[in-house]
Amino acid sequence: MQHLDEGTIHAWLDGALSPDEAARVEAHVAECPQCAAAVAEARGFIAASSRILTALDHVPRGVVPVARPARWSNPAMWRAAAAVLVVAAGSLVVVRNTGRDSKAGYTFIETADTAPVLQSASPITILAKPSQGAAGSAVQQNVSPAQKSVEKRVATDAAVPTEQTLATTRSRVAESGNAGALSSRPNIVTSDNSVAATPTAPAANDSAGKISPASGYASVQPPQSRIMLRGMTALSNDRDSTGVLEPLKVVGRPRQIGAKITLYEVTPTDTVTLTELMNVQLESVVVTRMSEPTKERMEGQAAGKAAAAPSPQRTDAAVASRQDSQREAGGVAGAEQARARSVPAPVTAVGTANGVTTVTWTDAGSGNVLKLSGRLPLPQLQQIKIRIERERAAAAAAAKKNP
Amino acid sequence: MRRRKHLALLAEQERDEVVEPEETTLERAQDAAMARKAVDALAERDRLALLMREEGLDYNEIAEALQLSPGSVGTTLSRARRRLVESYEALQKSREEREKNAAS
Repeated sequence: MQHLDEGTIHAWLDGALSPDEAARVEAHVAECPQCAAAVAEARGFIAASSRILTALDHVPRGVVPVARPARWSNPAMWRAAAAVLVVAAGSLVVVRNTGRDSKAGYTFIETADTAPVLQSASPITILAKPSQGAAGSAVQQNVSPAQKSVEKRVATDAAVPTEQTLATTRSRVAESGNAGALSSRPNIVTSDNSVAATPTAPAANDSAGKISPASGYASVQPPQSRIMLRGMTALSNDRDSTGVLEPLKVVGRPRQIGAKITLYEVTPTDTVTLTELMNVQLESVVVTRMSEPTKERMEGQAAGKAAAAPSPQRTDAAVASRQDSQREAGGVAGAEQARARSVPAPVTAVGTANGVTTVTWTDAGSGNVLKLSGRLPLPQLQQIKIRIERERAAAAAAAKKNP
Repeated sequence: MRRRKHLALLAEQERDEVVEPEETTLERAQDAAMARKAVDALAERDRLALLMREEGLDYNEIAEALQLSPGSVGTTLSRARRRLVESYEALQKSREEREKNAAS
């Protein structure tokens, strides 16, 4: 057989030859070093030209892209903005709360005001758990966005064992909203708003985000993806976690065998993934944040007002929340404290790859290995870790008390 | 549904960040510019054949579109690829030399 011409080789490599022809080419290449070399060269050209053509796709023709439009897509900007708001809001809360004793349990209050006047002020979410409390009852908040109703729940656990009742108050406020909600608003307030409908919803979301001082993140909380704390077993109750944190928003729970994965939205642009490799079960959490510039900005404003709005609560919850809010005001320091207090299992490993930081530790309660990873600096990741641990503890407590 | 959308957006965002890190934007732009130059340097028939092939058309379709005989598509493509790669490499080389000169 004659040597192969280049066109035939390309056609062969492109799979364009008939089976007969292909067989002949193949046979020849097998025994002709010269043509084998030509085939190798042709492969190189095919691969290289394909790569070059792919490069075309990266940029519109003739245009050299400038850096990305500087919208508020930069997480750092949001963080900075959030930090400012948090500090402002936190200090207000602290001032209001000063002088109260902290007692018991775990308090969680969720309030959403849809009333026009209140809207801006209402959406603040604080989750407080006093350090002195017993196991603390977990609070779980459920909002049914579809109903556009406001749900308020307050769960309070008395520190004293005998008093360890869980009081749950749930009030629903019609969408028209009423001032009453405001007056009864606990220090710890979590607002859930359905993003969907009302203009006010965005604001509410924003404010909620701002209030996670400890982490210094602003988080937007789309209503639908409300916090879902799963009942977690085997978490240590003795861990007294403190700190007020809004629940991390769970944006997804990819299924994986042998592990639980949860995606959390930490900030609009940051997602954290918690993977729990379980001896018995696996649980993972992922945090994700999407940025919704407009909403967030609105939220920010709302948050400021909201901070001032909360009126004192008479229940233990108020106390608890106060404590928490103070801690929150402490910002990072508070988080650090909280961490020290709660004495979570030590971080056993920290790794960074491709900008993704991963923290690995062993859960004290369950003995499971937890992996938290996200595109965040280590300190932030550790704060999220603390929050997750708290939520887990809360969920476990809730599961225990409210089977 | 909404959540899925959300996740999709996130994934997209994630991909963007991974695939096009800030640092390499310029480099990518340069590569793309060179690629375009190299493609533009091809004869029209070669260029069209190559782009069609890249789009997934098979030899018969390319032959039909360009009014070639099916047998010559391989030849056209082989020539187009070789020239594309050669001119791209030439551009690359000249760029490297420019940078070298600029550095020294």
